[in-house]
Amino acid sequence: MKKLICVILALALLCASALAAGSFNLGRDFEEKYQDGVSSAAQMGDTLYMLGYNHVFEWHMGDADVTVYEMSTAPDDDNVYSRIQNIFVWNDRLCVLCVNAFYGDSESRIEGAGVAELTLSDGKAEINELLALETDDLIISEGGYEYFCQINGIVCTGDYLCMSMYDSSYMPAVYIVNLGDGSGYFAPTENAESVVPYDEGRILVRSCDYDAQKISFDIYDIENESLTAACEPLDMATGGSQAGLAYDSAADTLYFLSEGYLKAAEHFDLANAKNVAELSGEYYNNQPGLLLPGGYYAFSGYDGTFIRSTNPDDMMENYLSVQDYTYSQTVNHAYDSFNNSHADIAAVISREYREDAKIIEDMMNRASDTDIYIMANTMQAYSALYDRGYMLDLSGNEKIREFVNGMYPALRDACVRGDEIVSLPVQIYGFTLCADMKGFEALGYAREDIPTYWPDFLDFLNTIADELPEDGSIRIFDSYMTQRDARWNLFYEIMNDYSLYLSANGREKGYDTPELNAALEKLQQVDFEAMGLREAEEDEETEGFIAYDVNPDSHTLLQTGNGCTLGNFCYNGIPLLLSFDADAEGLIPIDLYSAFVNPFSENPDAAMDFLSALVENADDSLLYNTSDRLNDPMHYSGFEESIAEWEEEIRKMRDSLAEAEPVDVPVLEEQIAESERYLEEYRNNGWQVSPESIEWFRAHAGQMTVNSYDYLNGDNASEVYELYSQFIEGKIDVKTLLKGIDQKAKMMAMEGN
Amino acid sequence: MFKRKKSLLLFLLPPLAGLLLFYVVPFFGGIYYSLTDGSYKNAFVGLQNYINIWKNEMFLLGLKNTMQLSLICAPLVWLLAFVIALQLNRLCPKGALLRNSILLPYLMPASAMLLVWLLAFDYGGTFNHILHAFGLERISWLEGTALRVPIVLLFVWKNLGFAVILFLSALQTVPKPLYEYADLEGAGFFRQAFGITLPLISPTAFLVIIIEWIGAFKIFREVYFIGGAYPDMSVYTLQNYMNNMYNKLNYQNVTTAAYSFALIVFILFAVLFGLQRRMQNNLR
Repeated sequence: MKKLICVILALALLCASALAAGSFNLGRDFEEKYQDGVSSAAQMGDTLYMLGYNHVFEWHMGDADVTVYEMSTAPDDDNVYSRIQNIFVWNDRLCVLCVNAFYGDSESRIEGAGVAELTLSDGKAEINELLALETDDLIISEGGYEYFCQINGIVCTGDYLCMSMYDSSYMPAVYIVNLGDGSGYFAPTENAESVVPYDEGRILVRSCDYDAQKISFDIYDIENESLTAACEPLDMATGGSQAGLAYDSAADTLYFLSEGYLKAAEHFDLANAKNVAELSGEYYNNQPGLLLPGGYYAFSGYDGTFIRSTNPDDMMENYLSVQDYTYSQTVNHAYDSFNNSHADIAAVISREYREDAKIIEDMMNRASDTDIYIMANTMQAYSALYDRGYMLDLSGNEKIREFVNGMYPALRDACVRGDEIVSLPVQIYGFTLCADMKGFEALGYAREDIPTYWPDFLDFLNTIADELPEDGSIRIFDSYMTQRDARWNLFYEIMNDYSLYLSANGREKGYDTPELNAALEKLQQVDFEAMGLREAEEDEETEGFIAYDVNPDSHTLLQTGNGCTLGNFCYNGIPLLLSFDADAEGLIPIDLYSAFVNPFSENPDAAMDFLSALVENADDSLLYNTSDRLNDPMHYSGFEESIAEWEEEIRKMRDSLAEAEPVDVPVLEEQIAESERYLEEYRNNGWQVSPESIEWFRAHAGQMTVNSYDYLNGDNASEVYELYSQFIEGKIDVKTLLKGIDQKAKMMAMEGN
Repeated sequence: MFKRKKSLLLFLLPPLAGLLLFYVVPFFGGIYYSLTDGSYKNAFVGLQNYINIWKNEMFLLGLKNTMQLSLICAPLVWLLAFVIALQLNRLCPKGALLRNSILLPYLMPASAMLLVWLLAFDYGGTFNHILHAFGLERISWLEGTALRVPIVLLFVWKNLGFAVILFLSALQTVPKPLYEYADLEGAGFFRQAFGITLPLISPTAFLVIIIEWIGAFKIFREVYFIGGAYPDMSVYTLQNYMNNMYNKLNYQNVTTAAYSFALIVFILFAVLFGLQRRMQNNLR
C-alpha cells in the first residue's frame, strides 16, 4: 500500500512539475489503451473535456491522468446511428453536436441533428438532446445517399454556435446556429477555414484564398451580421501557417501553432509573432485551441492533447529542431522518449511542407536551423544531399550502427555512403501489382501458370478475359474501374517497375529500350472491353455511383498499387513481381523515409540521441520490414476484443431466437449464420501481419529495391504526366512517348550528380 | 578638386568597400569553391572539377548551344537595330511614336510575354495559321530543333528596341553635311550606311554588340518557361546546366562552369576590343 501511495505521489509530483515547467501531453496512449483518439475538446473552469469516438476523457489541471467515460455509439432499433461530433460548452453545460443517420444497404439518410447535453457519471457518458437544429442547409444528397456536411471546428459564443465546415458544395464556410430556436444561416465569409471566439458575440474567422494566395483574419459580429478585417491579409507564401487558433481578448493576443511552436501575436502582428512554447503535435486540422486558467493553452490534435504554458520564460534555452514529413509513430514515440530523457534540450517537430529548393538553399547557406530532416528518399532534396554528402556520419553511434548493419542489404545500402552510415529508415512501404490466387485457382491457374515477364503477362490477360465466368463472380479488375482506369493503373505499374529495374541493375537511365517498348506495345493490345469493364467514367443508370461488389465469394484477380510490405500486405493476395527480363525475377519496390542529421547542426550530439531514440522506438512495421528480427504474426489491434464482442452479439441473437415469433425465426437464423460467417472470416483474416505474408516476404526480401529520385518523379513530374495522359488517351504512340521521356532522362543522367 | 589624397580616399571608401564586398570577395570566393570537392567539408581538389566538367557531355552541349544561340541572336539584333535606326533617323521627328513604341517589348515582363509567345507558336497558333494560309505544312515550333526559332525571335523582339535607341542616339552625332556630300558623289543608302555612318558610330555599334552578346549568353528564362529543366537538346543552354547543378546542390560545378564560361567570354571580348581599337586607329 505504501508503495502504491508513493507511486501515486510520484506521478502527481511529475505532473505538477511538468505543468510548472509549462508542458504536459495527454492522450498519447488513448489509441493503445482505448482504441480511441481525441477529435475535439472543450474547457469548463480548470477542467478539460476531450471527445473521442466512443469515450469522453476528463482532465483536471494538475492531475496526472484522465477520468474515462464510455459513450454508446450503437444504433437504435431502426438502425439509426447517433454520430457524436464536436464537444463544446454552452451556458456552463457540456454539450455535443449529434447527427442521427440511417445507413442502409443502398441508401443513407440524415434523420436529424441537434445539440445534446453530456452527463458524465459512473464511467458513463449519457447524451440527452436539448435542441433540434434546422438541417436543410447542412445535408448533401447524392444519388440515394445523404451526408451531413463535414464540420471542421465548433465554437460557442453567447447563445450562438459557430461551425467552420465544408458546405454542400464542398466549399469552406461558417454556419451560425441560434441556440434559442435551432435556426441557422451561413455567415457572409469566403474561404473561411477556422473560427475562434473573439469576444462576447463576435468570432474571429481565418480564411485562405488560394487563388489570391492570401490569408486573412476577420471579426464577425453575429448580432449585426457584419464582417471587419482584423489585420492586413498575409501573403500565403511568406505568412506561414496558423493552426489551433485561440484569442485572448484581455491581452489582445492571438495564439497559434506553426513550425512546431506555439506562437503569440500581439495586436494581430503575425509577422512578429513570438515563440512561447514548443508544441510538436500533428495539428493540421482546423480545430481551435483553448486558453486555460493560469496562462495555459491546450490543443487537441490527431495524436493527443497538448497543454503548454503561454509564458515564454518557461521555454528551454535550447531546442532540437526536427523536420518531419512522415507522421510516423516511430517519430512521435522518439519525441516523447527524447524529451522525457533530456532536461537541457527539447525536440521540436515541424511538419510544415518545405520545398526541395528551400532545403537545398538552406544547406548551401550552411543553415543550422533544422538539426534533423526526415524525408522520402524519392525527394530531390534527399537525393541531392545524399549525393553531395551533406549528411552527418552516424557510424559512431552503436545503436544506430547495430540497427543499420542488421538490415536487409538493399535497405542498408540506401543508408550508407562510402563507409559512413548517413541515414536511418523511419518509415517503409511498398506497393505493387497483386493477384488474388484463390480467384486464379478457381479459373484453373496455379501461381506457376501466371507469367512473370511483363509482355507475357499482358498477353495472358487477354487469354483469361475469355475464360471469365458469365455470372461476374470472377473479374480481372474491380467493378468500379473503367477501361481507362485499368489501362492507367497497369501503365503506372509498368513504368514504376521499369524505373526500379533500371536502378536495381545499375543500367543507363534509358526508356526507349526494347524491354519497355515490348511491354507497352503489349499493353496497347490488351482488350479491356473483353474484361467487362465500362468505357465511360459515369454510368447513367447509377447516376455515376457504381456499387462496390462486397460479395465474399467473388474474386478480383488483380489489385494494382497494393501493399507488398509487412503491415500493409495485400489482403487476400500475393504480389506478382513482374519482370522486364524473361529470365530474371521481379523486384519489390520500396518507398523509404529516412532521417539524417544536418552536418551544420549546432546540436550534433543531441541529434544523435534523437536518432538513437528513433531506433529504440522503431514501430512494428519498421522492425518487420527492415530485417527478420521480428517474425511473429500480429493481429489487428483490438482483435481479441472484437472477437469477444462479436461472440457476445451472436450469443444475444441466439437468446432472442429462443423467444422469437415463428415468423421472425428464418430471418434471425439467417442473420446468425451471416454473423458467424463474418466472424469466422475475421478470425482467419484479422491479421495485421499474417504468417503467410511473413513467409512470402522473407522468401523474397532479397528482391527489395529502394525507389529513388529520378526524372519521372521529380520536378518534371507534370511534364511526364502530360505525356502519360496523351499516351493513355491514344494521342501519341509508344515510340513518341518513350522518345519524349528517354531523351530527358538521359540528359539528367549525363549531367551527373 | 581634392588636394589632399587622404580625403579623396575617404570619399572613395564606401564605393570601394561595396565593390570589394559584393564583387571582389565573391569572385575569389567562387574560385575557391570551384577548387573544392562539393561536400560540406569542402576538401581541396585542385583543378579536378574543371577537368570533370570539360569532360561532361551536357556542359559541352550547353556551351555549344549558348555560343550558337548568341552567334545567331546578337548579330541579328545588331543588324536589324542598325537598319531600323537609320530609317527612323530619316523619319525624324515624324518617327517619334514608332521610336517610343519600339521600346515597349523591352519593358514587358518576360513571363507575360512568354504566354503570348506560346499561344502564337502553338501547333494550332497564329504562326501555323499563316503557314497554312500559304499552303505550307504546320510545324511543331515548341518541340525539337524548331524550338530555336521562337526563342531567337523572342530574343530579337524583346531586345531590338533598346539597341535601336542606342543607335539612334549615336546617329544624332553624325554631321549632316557628310551625307549631303555623299549624295552629291552618288553614294547609295548602303554605301552611306556602311561607309560613313558605321565607322563614325563604331563605339556605339561596338557597345550594342557587346550588350546583345552578353544578353544572348543569358538566354534561359525563355527556354526554361517553354522546355523546363530539360528542354530539347538543341536549346539546352549553359544556364540550364548550371540551374540543374544548383538543384543538385553541386555548387562546385556551378562555379566551375561559370568561371570556365567567364574565361571564354573574357577571351572573346578581348579579341573584339582589339578589333574595335584597330578600327578606330584606322579611322584616325
